[in-house]
Amino acid sequence: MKKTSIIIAAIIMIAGFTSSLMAQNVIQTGAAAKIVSALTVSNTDLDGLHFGTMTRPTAATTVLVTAGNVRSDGGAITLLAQTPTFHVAHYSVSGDGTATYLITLPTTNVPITNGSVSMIVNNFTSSKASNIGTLVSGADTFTVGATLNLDINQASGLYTGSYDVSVAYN
Amino acid sequence: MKELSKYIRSLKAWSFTAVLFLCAHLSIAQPPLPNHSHTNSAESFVNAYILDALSIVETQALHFGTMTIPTSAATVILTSAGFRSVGLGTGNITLLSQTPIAKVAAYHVDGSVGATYVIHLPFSTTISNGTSSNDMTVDNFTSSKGVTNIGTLNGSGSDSFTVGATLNLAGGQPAALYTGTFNITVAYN
Repeated sequence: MKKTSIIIAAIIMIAGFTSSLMAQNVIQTGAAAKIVSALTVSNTDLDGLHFGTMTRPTAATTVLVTAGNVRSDGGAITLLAQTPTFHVAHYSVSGDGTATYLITLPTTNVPITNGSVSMIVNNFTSSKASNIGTLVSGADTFTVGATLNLDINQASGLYTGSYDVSVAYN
Repeated sequence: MKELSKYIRSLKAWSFTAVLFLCAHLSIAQPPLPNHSHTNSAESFVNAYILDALSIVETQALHFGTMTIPTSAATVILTSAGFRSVGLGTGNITLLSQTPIAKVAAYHVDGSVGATYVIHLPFSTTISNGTSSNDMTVDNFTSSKGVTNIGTLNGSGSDSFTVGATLNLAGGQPAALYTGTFNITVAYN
């Protein structure tokens, strides 16, 4: 019993000695970690991206709404000013301080349908160069435009669909 | 001695057990941490509105009705509401109520519910009795939609409007039935 106690005590003492011996070669180093608050994005329009009102095209054509909110067409169609009117989709971003973030837009065709037939929306663009934005005091906004592809004599009606936009710290 | 070695053996056994227990505790799966993802996405609508083709039919032709030969140049005005009056040359021409009677031009339009459209009126046209030197000019076309000439299709996608104009007569304009045509265009605006 006593021997065991001595052995245990010895082990403890040796361990203690070892620590103090190592203390002579220690250098203090700074360590840090920054945890950023979650990045969030939301679409602030009730009706998202809208290509507005137009006539039925007489040939296959396109309608473009730029991220700068300018609408144009590729011919064979008349774009109208009456409601519903066209507009880009608006997004607001919130996150950490002055962090930068990357916007990911749809890369595949997005179908919109009038309940019977559909057409394709693609070539999504954002108002941010290289789709990278910079938060200011933890906030930022950007817009998204795209291209609508119509078939010859595309049927009339209100076409609707949806797409996702995501953001990530980069 | 025997007792000591026995003790050491049991101590080893307990230590081993303790270590085993510690390892086992560490290897039990931890509960999942909350997912504070660094990406976030938003779903948005995308919309477009294509209108039905716009069509127009005439339901009544324009007629200035019956009148006497003017003794000097005169004008007869027919408003889009169907009110006829003498403009220039009052007292030099008499408007008669016998047939054929004055009628406004009337039109029916069809297209998408609630859509708006603009009416394009002609600047002028001529009506003739067969002798070109007697041609009379009809001008100052007006519509029942007012100065904007814009109409709105109703809940059935329909609308109607009327058109009036001004007839220009020369003094001594020969008696006859004068006829002609004019074009009205409608377009979504």
